[in-house]
Amino acid sequence: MKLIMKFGGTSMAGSEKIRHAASLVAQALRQHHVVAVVSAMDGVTEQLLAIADHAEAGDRSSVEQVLSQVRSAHESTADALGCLAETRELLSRLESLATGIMAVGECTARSRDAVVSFGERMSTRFMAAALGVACGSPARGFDGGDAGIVTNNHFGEADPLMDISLMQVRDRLAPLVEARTPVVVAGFIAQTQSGVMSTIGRGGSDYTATILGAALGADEIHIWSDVDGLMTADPRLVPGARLLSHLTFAEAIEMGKFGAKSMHPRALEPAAEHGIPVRMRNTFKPDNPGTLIGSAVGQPDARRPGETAVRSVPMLKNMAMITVGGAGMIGRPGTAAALFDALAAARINVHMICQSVSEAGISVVVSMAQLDRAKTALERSMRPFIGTRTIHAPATSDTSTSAPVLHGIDVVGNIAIVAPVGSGMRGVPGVVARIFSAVARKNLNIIAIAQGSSELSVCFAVDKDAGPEAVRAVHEEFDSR
Amino acid sequence: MRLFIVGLGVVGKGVLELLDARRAELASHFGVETRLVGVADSKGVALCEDGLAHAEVLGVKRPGAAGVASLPDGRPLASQDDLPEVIAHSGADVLIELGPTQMRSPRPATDRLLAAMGAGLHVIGANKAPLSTAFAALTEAAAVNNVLLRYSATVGAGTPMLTLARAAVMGDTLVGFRAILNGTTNFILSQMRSSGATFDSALAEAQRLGWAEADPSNDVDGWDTAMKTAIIACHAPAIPPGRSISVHDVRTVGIRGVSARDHADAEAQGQVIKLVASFDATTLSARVEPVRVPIGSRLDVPAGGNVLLIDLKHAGELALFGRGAGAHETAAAVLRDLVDIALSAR
Repeated sequence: MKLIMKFGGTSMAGSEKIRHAASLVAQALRQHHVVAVVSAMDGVTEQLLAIADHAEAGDRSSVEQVLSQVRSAHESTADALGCLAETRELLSRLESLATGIMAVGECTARSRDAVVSFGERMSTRFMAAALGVACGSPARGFDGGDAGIVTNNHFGEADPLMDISLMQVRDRLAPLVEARTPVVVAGFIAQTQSGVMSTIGRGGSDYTATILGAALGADEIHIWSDVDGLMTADPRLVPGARLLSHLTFAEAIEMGKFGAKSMHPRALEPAAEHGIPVRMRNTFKPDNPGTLIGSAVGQPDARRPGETAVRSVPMLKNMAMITVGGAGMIGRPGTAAALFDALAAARINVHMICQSVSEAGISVVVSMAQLDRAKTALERSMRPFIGTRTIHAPATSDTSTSAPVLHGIDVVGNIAIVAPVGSGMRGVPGVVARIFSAVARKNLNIIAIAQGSSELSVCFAVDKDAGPEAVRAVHEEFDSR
Repeated sequence: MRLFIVGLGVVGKGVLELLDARRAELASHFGVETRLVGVADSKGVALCEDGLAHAEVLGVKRPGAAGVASLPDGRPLASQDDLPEVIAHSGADVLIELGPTQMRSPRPATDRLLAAMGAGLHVIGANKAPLSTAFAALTEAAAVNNVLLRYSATVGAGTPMLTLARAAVMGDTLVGFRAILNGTTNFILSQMRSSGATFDSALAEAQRLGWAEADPSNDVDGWDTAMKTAIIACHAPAIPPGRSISVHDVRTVGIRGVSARDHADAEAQGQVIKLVASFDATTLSARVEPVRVPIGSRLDVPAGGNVLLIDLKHAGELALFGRGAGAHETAAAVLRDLVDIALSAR
């Protein structure tokens, strides 16, 4: 088999864990063709971002403080793994870069990418050193760009130029993989067409792994972390939550959208498109099979008794709903475009959208963290449609006391979104009724509902305190598994 | 338009000659005026913002001359790997890539095209190797960099076969296509048929007359035809979006195994043996192999001819005949692409 084995930050936290991960790769290399992909050590990406921020602000002492933490963690790991010299060289380049940012007092997205890239670059040296020892033959380490992944120039969140990347990765890595040379690739980082370091943002190293898998025609992509796999619900909310043994790509992508501890939907795309199964595994329990995400594996037939139309019940908390309303919106083309343009321009991530057929109002759900920015953007841009009035609702979801919005911008803060997911819901009458009956039996009020035409999920908004109870109610109703 | 030309073999020289010969016509008919700001051959590169004189460039490419590096603005190139960088920073508007077709190592040419497009140059490729192995990557590079990629010289030389294939597919459902796309094999097979010669002696004759190269493998083993088949299938497109087909997906059998006896047997049944490319749009399968075709049928083209037969669901069969090779024929196709770019980019 041809395998991609990607190790997350928790699997790379310190020399012992790295040796363990390397032993898993070495073991696989005895029977299979393998490429290892690594993330930065746990927490290092955040430290590197802090260095960039402090450097931009000219805060030398904070830069030095965080830099010394990064240095000591990496030097001790490098020393244990026998790659101290090359690690020191990278650390000194990182330091020069931070000094340069302080000197100009500005950190462009491009410089920030360069700073952040050091986490994965050092991890790659570590894994290559450990893997070389575990295999008894030297391992080849690649930065994502050297491996052939090319992006556009949107630093910080660059998009891979997929066809070029697939061709280049195949060209550069396939001969090594064929020869069973141990290969380690830095996740998350790539380069632009002109060879400047970039990072691929959302999906990160998982995305690197699936791109490599697609390019090399892998049989499976293994994502190693510190969890057993995907669960039917957050076990902290639902004591009876179970591990999901298998999921379809569509289900996993849907769960990822709702913040379940799944892969980012973007990272799943290359695997789904090329039909390469992705297995989520626990580095520290390598005998566990984990969760297999595949094209049509284990698709349940929801019409049978004992159905599990709802496979998983993820929840998003700390959300807010903004409703833009006004009779001026009715039948007026361009209202929705203006609203979403304004949110896009303010770089607001919209989690859920509702609109009534009357067109008198559109509701969008955003995170509490982005609420103020979203509200300001809408107040400014929606004035021609709704006038100037804003209803400043208290940060509560007690909608029973406020009158329905006729005109203006209404905000309901502190809500949770519950999103039952399952491909068995598609085309099956009564699933939605069962979901809402289960919630109603617990006497919980539903603030808003949305369902996309894919029928893979229904999402509804409830008060944040009602969220966990709603998750338990749906989970219990469907006996999700 | 400022041009950078890579490769000054017969086609490269032909392009310079045609640019000179058609200079007035290109300006008056199409408003196209060109300036050669860079040239590279296998050993060197020359750059001049004010324009290199075509005659001087042609002069250093005469037999025995020292090549581009010996031009006043020239210098030797340590490695071909440096060329993409040189092209990207040359200030040219259009790269004309006429490097040798190396099917087994298409990367140098592919990298030149990608680097040029990444730097915002339009590109014209006459080299089949990159287009037939990395079509999706090259078209992606053109799209993301908002530049034009043209390669009509890769198939049929002066005969606009790719244009016909696309026009046909736009209006109708493709059933498949068949084609004869390689002059060398067509010549050798014709020789064998008319004189009863063996493959080896027909090949030797072809080499003596300049029909075949010293290393004839690219032609006689079918690879040239296979590359062209993949390019037609990608360009039309004869394949669904998201799918791609490379030369390696084309099942290819050359003509080395064809004997004088096979020709005699075919002849006895009113048939003739040709190296035929075929593509089936239902199964998306492409192949190149020696096939018996009826004497006098559309595939029975004379030695120097190429033909493309496109089978459409409603319109039936379309045919385009033409001369498939030759320095000036191919150079004419390059100029066609150049005018197309000039008009499209406006």
